Amino acid sequence: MAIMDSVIVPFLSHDHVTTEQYNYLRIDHVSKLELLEKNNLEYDAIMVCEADQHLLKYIIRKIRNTWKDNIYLRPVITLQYQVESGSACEKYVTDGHAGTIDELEQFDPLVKQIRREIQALSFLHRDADTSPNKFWLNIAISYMRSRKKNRLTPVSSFDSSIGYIWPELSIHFAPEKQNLVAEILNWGAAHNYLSTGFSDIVYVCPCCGSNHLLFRETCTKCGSPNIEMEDLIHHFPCAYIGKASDYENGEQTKCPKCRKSLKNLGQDHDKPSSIYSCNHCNHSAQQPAIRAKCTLCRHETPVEQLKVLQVCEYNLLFQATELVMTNSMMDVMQETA
Amino acid sequence: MDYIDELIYYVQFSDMAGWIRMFWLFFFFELLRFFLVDLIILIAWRFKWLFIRRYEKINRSILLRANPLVSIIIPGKNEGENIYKLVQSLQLQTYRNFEIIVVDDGSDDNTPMIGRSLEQSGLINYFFRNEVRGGKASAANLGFRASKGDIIVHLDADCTMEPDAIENIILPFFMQKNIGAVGGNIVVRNYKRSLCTSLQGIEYIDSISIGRIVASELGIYRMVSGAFGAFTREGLTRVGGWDIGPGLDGDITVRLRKLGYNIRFAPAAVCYTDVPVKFKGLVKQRLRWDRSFVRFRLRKHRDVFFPTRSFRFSNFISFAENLTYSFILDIKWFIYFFDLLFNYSHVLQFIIPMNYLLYLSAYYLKFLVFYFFRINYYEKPATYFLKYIPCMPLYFGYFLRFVRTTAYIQELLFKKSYTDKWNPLKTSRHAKRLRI
Repeated sequence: MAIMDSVIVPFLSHDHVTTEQYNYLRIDHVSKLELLEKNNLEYDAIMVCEADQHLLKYIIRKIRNTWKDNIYLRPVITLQYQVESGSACEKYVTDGHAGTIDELEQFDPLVKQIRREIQALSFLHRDADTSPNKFWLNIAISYMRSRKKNRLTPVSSFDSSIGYIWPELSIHFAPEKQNLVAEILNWGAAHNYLSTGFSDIVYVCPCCGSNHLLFRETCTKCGSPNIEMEDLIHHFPCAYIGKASDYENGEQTKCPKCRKSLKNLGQDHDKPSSIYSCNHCNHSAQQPAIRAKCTLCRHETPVEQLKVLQVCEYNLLFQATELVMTNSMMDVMQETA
Repeated sequence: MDYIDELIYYVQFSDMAGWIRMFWLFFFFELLRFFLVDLIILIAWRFKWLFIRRYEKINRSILLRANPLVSIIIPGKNEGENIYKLVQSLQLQTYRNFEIIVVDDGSDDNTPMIGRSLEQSGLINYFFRNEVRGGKASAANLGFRASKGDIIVHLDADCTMEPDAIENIILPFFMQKNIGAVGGNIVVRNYKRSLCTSLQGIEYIDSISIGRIVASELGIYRMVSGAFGAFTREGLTRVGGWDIGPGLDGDITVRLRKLGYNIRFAPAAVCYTDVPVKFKGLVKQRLRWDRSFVRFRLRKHRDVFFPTRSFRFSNFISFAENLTYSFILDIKWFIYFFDLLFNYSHVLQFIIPMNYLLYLSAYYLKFLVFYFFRINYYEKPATYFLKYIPCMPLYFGYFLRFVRTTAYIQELLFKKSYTDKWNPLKTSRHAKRLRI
């Protein structure tokens, strides 16, 4: 932040692009993010032009997290470079992409529509009575209403701690805190702001709620992943059955019971199953236990004890609209209905 | 009434020499071996027990202090539902230091699911599954390979146990040195199900619960039942585990005997099993059992009769007794039958009922006398079984004899045991080639 504070913007004219109808704030570097909150600047939409993917995402995230003066609701158009990853939250909260500056004009109707929708919203100022869940829900619903969206659809995401994001709300939370997003949305469903529909199931760490798990086959006795699987060999003539290593006799494979050399598979022996041996405790069993190790909190859990999280899509209910619309606008809506 | 009068008249006027001539098979063989010898041995056993009772108590406390790990191996195919009942009965055992190893020999029902669930819930220690069926011997060997106990107990999945069964079957290992295996007492669980099971209930009391006490005391006990038998790890390792069946339980007992181990019977180690409900199923089971007599006693282990390096007199006697009373007696019975047919054809109408009554009296006498020597595991055995005893001369003397003779002929002439579907053909093929 020290670097950002020391940045001086030399030419205001370089920070704006004007189309026929609207004035776009041009942000082509993170240092220009401070322009967002400058009181003397008038702009209708934001144009982001940044080649570096990380910085591009950072800028978009910063814009959507700037709640002062409802900057976060402003239309954001990427210019020349767009968010590449299909699972990135930032991709879903960008309103459009223009290849060149000439193409910017085609977004004017969209900007017009978003501005009109924003005017109909009443903004919640968090005070002592406002619960955190209600606050976050308001932020997300306001954004959705401004884009005429009624559905929060989960998108699978590599970065998310639960494997899914709901971009309109998830953008406000760090990737490792996405389980909070699910909690807020479920709270919204429980308080009749949202209706739910099944989308998927994810298994998460019972300790920290993360889906970033490493699945390993482990010893059923000591839990060590240091196990070795071996085929079992059944020697037909003498009915001996044991690990393949039991039959190793120098260069040859001989039955340890009757001392006869093994011939072809199926002729005098077969491999009816396999067995593992634990290099840690010498335990042998046929089915190793599958355990999950959380990469976030490092807790190890048998897969049967993982927490099951239902991933839902959410639809806005009337009460959600009521939460974010101005009283006058609600009257209009009810009369229309 | 004329016939009855004539029969009574015939009985009254037959002298002792005539009786012995007419019923020589009964007097010289069956009464001698299966009643008199048994009775003498049982009396001696009871007296011995009075003296060793204190010694047994001391050894029981030594056993409980030593607390050796016992590995219970349960091999089987499509036995999922039975395994659950068996495991429940094992949970009630007085002896607690055991591991349970269930081996599924290529089941095609829900056994794998039940086995895995029992393993996960900790009711059994290990569940192994062979995706391809390899036969009971290979399944038992896999269980033995995975076991860690000093004593290995082999159980059939359809058994349930008395709470002190495991403790009682491992006790003889502490009572006597050089014991290689101990056989458990097999009792018919479904004895009330049908006439067939009731008759088998009486037969098991006679041939297992009583017969094996006698055989064990005489040192000629040669069949540790696969349903419930205990082995030392050392003994099993030396014989290399089980060989291809059918008849693998008798085979392994003989191989242990050949190595010089003593084999004991533990009458107080009671295990319950279901027997075939219908005679058709019984015939199938007995044909398999009796064929294995020829295969193992007369072929694989015929060296017991010859003065080889591993010759033991007790093994010779054991086999000779088995051969005499199973095989030769069968032949004698047919000789006796023809003897009657040719020499007494004019009085057969009297001899057949007399013969029947003679055997019937012997069965009643034996059942009532031997009742005092056996462990009391049925609630009201006397009242229940007494009414079925009149069927025993027919069941034991004719039905089972006919089945046994058929089995011997099948095996002697056609080596039928090698094509028995009880064992996979891929292994039987090798057994036949190797003459084992």
